[in-house]
Amino acid sequence: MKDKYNIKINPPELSSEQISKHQNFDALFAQFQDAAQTTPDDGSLKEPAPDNVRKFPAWMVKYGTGAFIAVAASLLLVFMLKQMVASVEGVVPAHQIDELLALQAPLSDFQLSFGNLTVQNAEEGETLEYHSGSKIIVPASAFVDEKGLPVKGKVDIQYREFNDHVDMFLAGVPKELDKHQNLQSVAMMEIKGSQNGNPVFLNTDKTLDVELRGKVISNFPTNDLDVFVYSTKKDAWDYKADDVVEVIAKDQVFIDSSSLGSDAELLAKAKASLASSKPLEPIKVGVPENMQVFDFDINIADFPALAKYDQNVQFIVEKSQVNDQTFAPEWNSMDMKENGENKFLLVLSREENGEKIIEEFDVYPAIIATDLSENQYRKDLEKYNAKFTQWNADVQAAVSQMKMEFNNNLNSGWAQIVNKFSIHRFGLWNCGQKVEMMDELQINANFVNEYGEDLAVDKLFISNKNKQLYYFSQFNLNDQTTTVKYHPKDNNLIWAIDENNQLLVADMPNVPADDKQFTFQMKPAAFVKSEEDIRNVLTF
Amino acid sequence: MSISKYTVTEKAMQDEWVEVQQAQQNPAKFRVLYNRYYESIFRFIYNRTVDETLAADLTSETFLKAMNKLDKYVFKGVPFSAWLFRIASNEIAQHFRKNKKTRVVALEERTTHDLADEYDDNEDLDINLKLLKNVIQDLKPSEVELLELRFFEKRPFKEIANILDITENNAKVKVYRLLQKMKKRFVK
Repeated sequence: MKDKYNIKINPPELSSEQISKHQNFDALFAQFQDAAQTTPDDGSLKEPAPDNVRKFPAWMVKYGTGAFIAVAASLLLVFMLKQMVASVEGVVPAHQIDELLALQAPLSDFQLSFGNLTVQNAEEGETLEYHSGSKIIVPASAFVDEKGLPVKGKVDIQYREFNDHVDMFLAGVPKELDKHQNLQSVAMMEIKGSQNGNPVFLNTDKTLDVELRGKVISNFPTNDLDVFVYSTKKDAWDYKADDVVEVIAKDQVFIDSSSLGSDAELLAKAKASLASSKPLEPIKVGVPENMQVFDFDINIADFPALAKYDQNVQFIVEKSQVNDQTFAPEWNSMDMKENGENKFLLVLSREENGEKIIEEFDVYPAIIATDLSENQYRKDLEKYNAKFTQWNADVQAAVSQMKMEFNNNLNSGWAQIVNKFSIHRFGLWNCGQKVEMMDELQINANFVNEYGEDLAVDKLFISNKNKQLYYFSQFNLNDQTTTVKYHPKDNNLIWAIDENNQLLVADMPNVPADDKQFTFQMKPAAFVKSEEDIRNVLTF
Repeated sequence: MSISKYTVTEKAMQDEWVEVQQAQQNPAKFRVLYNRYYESIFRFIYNRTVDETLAADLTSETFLKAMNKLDKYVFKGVPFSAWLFRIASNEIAQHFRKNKKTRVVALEERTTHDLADEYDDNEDLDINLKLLKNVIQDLKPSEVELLELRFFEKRPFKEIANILDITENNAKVKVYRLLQKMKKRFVK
């Protein structure tokens, strides 16, 4: 079998002098400048390039600087002419040209396709309607070409909406950790225009009114949302305006996933709701050894639960609760109230040396033992057991019902909304809010495969359903552990792309909230042959 | 192989962050960082390639990539060099992957003695070069990387943690587990 490593024993050591022979910052800097191609306006790049580094294009070396000056002069002339034309007939949409956007889909085989809309006559304008119900209101003479000249006739609009994390993932929406991680999305769209295959732009004094359909978790306030546009130049989302949101439909009230409660809490809740139908255990016959009769004068008829036993009921108390002193004094008053099933609280009070003395006893009803009463007790107990079994079954059914309703609410707890705003240029627009991602949410994550072996992931994606967040983080392929910000208590999905462009989905760990060290087991997504397959794998 | 001189103080890191910010504003100022770390990055790469010319190329690539990505660098309380080592490590991995070549591991005879010193009960162990070579063949790339950083290059745990972007404690745990894993093979 081929060795995994090419092991070299006692390799020759290099001296500092040998290494420094290769050290040449000037050459590196020239290479950097070549790659960058542009020099900042502030002229900050003042480092001279070394003689042995090619700095000028080959044609310039061949024909000399005279040719360069001639070409530069021609370009300047063309530019001035263009500017003159533009100043007469239109304003060059330079900013919009700079912001032309082309998103890079992480999985090149699967793209979120654009819908095609058409403005039939740009001079008149038109209201476009997308199949989602979103509207784009195009005013008359809204478009210009790259020279700033008005566009007439038919204009094609390429449009797509991003309704969830899967759409954003497929399209390659730039929400990178540390840059865009805190931007929530309740609606997002990308729009661009063209005529005969050439891009068109928005006239600088026109805007398109947009009514973008979206969805937000039902209990999320919609009065504080904003509109952002993605800047290609800055690689950042720019705040543009407040989002005017109209809620058009609302599902059942959303229940936070942590609010379901434990099984014990659900059981207690179900028992409380069915308390009135709970059968009463029949009162036992006779006096157990650890009890004694507590004889006091009380009207049984005052207690409905005891009334059916007529005068055959007596009260008993634990022997340990009473002594001779309990019965010696004369009690001035007596009160008794129910204190649980077949249990009462007896309160006796008297005065001694001007002080009021109160004593309380737990007392229990007991049927005076006779053959007849014992027979009756056995029959009552049999009936009670049957009823109690049924009642317990009802309680369990109520627990199941609560869980089912909760899950239904989880799945349907959305409000359908319309986000109303105006756009001044084509591009990628998002409605949402900045969500604080505190440093304490930072965790150390490492990734293992199904066999527990360390795994290097290229790009890690996180979707947080509760906060409608989607973001990703790019790693060095060699990193086995990295830091990400992550709300462990929320409903999340984590997935990744490895160096072979394979889609991996994490088994979400069930860990205590204060644990900062997470190991995500990543499993390859099987049968990913279509966009629909990806949607199935990543929907949660 | 070189022995790390990793003694970066908080003040030194802060001063260096100022230099990085200056280089972010004006890439020509990257020269000071380049000169400071050229040799250590070169050695890091050479130790993993054992090819002087290739090490020179990959070192250039590493610094070029660092310059191109410098505007995205954010100070996270660890030395700037850790970021450079990570880029270098990535460049090395990419080189072997692209060229479909077997990853090089440079091993010195003295490493067997150094490794033996790590085990208290080393009289029960037989750590020889031939066996160590076999043991390395069965290690995962991440484990070989730990072996290189800790035992071949003698780096302190703090620096290993910074290079691997893990906690110091985690680095210690990983090294401990690696030693335990290897020990099973060294038992006489």
